Amino acid sequence: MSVYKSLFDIIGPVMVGPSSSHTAGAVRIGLVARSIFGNTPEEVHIVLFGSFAHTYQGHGTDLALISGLMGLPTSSEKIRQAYELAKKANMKVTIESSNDPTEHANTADLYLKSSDGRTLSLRGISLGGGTIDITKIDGFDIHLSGENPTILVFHKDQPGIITQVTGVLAKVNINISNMEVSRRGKGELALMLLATDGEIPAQTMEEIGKIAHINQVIALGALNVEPDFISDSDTKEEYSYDPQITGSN
Amino acid sequence: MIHRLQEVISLCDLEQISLHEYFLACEMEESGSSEEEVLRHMEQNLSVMERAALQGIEGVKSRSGMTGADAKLLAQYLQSGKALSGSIYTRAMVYATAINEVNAAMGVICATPTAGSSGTLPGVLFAIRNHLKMSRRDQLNFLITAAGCGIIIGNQASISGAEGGCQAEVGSAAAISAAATVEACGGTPSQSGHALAIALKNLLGLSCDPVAGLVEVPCIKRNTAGVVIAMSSAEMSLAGVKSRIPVDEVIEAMGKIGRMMPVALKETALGGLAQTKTALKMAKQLEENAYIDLESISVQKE
Repeated sequence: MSVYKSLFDIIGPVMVGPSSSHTAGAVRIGLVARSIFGNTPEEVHIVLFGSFAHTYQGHGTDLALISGLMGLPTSSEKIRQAYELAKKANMKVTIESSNDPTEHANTADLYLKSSDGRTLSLRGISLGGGTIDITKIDGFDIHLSGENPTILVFHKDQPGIITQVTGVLAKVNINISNMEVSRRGKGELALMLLATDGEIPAQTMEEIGKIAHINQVIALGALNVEPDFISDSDTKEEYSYDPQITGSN
Repeated sequence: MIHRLQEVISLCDLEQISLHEYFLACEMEESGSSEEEVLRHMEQNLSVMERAALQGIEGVKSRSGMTGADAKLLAQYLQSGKALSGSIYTRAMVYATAINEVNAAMGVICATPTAGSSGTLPGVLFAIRNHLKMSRRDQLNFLITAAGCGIIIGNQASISGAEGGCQAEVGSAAAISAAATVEACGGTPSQSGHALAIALKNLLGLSCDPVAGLVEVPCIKRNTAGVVIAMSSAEMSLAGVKSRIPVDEVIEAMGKIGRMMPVALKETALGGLAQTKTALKMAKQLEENAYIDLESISVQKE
């Protein structure tokens, strides 16, 4: 039952202060939202609950979420200037504190919108030590930690889709470590989450996107890779967690 | 990885190796990384600590307005030559304060073992490294020994304030700093064990009761005091003083105290210092204005 195995669990991680749960975890929630959305959204509405709502100013939870949405890693010096950076990136941000009860004390709801009308809603909770759980995507109840590469497949609830998707992965010898399916109703839109042991090649993503009744496929990289070193280069930070997106309608 | 520190110490004695050699070998086996890779990663973390210390000495301010610039005051005090505790101890206090102030101000830090206790370990290292003429490799070894001891504390007890109170954070930080200091001074693995035990004993029972739930008050000053506990414990052990309670029993006691501690004293801001009259005023001001005006708080007090 050893929780800590590596020297770097004790001396590390490198992160912006002051709190791994209220700052580093919040950056990661923003990063996952950005990865699913595919780029920097034009409009973001953030609703904070529980301890996030009460202490977000002091902990910079708002700055952290915004920074994640812009693709900055947890160790970026620029997190403090998140509002200025958002303005420069033409990202409109509104923050709301809610007294509504939630299951976990550190909860944030994110509503993303792009100028072409694309939207994404997502609920993230910060579990402590920088570990997170995304518990809702566009109303689908799921669990996504960001620790492993994951494929998100939006599809019509139909027999045989899961077999086809897993078949494509089996062909390229990619092992699935965890799997979850959530649907709006029988025969309606569904979301399939497949966590894998390895990153997914673009070609495999394309192949999955071609399967009938699949609306969109999104590949998320693993978040737990610490940046090699703090970089001052804008571009490197900006795109370090960008996803690959393919899809067919 | 061995679970108990006494077993590690016995093994080191048997094999005639130092604590850092043992922990480095464990890391290489566990992660599959080469020695160079482990050292390079540790070097990156060390330079983050150095950068944070320099930034903090220049003077920073936290977003809440509650803390900042005390490292600057301490540095001026050190330069005045009036410090009773001598230049090494005072220097350690300057660095520890500086780094934890940078943490509170949302600067980049390396958790040692947590963000809230990120000042103590580098504070000690930066104060002794010139005096002991430690090479860069010696400094990395210092961090490796500290980290290895931290793994043992984390797995036998806790390094989380929400789980074990501040004794698990600053207490652990001071304890692993003491063990690493003994090694840097040429002490034996067994003396490192006694230093760790003495330091941890001196911080047992310390609650985590941060004002307004922020990692600022009293966290920063506890990092500062943590270096003094760490260094005095190392010196006791180097002088031949032994902990009467074996080190692993002290670690276990810390874990048990943490479990017995009421939730109000474990990072919830529902008890202790966080519920004092002044702390509640500060929390209210933060909630209303997103900023704490320390002057107005002290005026209200009188």
